[in-house]
Amino acid sequence: MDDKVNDKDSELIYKVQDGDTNAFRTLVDLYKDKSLSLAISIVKNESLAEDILQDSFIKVYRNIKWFKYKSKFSTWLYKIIVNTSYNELKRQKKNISIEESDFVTNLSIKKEENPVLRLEDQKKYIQKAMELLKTDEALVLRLFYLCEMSLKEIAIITKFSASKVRVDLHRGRKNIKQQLEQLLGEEINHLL
Amino acid sequence: MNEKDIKKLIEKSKVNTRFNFTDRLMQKIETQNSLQTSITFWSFRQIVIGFILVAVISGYLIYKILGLNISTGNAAVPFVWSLILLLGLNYLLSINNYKSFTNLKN
Repeated sequence: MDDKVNDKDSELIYKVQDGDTNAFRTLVDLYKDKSLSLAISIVKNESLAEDILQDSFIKVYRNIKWFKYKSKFSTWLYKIIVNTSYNELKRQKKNISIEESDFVTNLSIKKEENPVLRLEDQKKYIQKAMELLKTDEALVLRLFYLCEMSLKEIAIITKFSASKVRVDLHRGRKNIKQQLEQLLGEEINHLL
Repeated sequence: MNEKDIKKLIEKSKVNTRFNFTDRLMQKIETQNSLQTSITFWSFRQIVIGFILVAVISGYLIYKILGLNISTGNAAVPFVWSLILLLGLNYLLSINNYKSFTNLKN
């Protein structure tokens, strides 16, 4: 599966390096949602994360001619997104504190009326729980389970030590469960 | 909760971009591309023109305004000076480009 993805990526990258903007559009469509989720893990704000994503993809487009396939394209892309997000977070912290998250607004879902949560509601609860996790834990969880990166690749992307990646992953697993239990109680079983 | 459950759970935490995200991005890239192509630094022609200009100005300053009596053999001074100056500027620009590249290299 991974090799197939890499083959498809390589084909697209060659085309982009030849100046094919449509190939770049396809590449963006392939990675945009996972990338946005990563940026949100760090800045906890959807519109800011989208701006970061735009900047990151522009950096990728400008520098793709230098891409030499020493790593997977996804590793390179996620590294740029994570770097840009942390830089933006630092910049924001210097100026003003980031506003409260705007992407999971309210969770006033009436549980009594909906014993089984709809998929959209499930997503809202899970996103809220992820938002409540520590930045590093949420980031490592998403890189590992959503982006299917290995521990070694996560260490390269985040510049965390291998042991920190393992610890964050372990704590992330434990804490996401705790957060969901607090938000949903027994109904956590409907999520699985 | 086993690994499979956690994976399913985290996959549901994926946030989708707005519907016109890619269009807006491509538009931004195209705008920046058209701006970049209209400004090209350090083409061969500009280097030659720059070199000649700096050499002529340096020569004029040395021979006329300062009134220095430099022998014919030293006429190469302004030319060498121009070359060093332009090479130095080119070096600074290359370093700058290299730095921005290494920040992003894979």
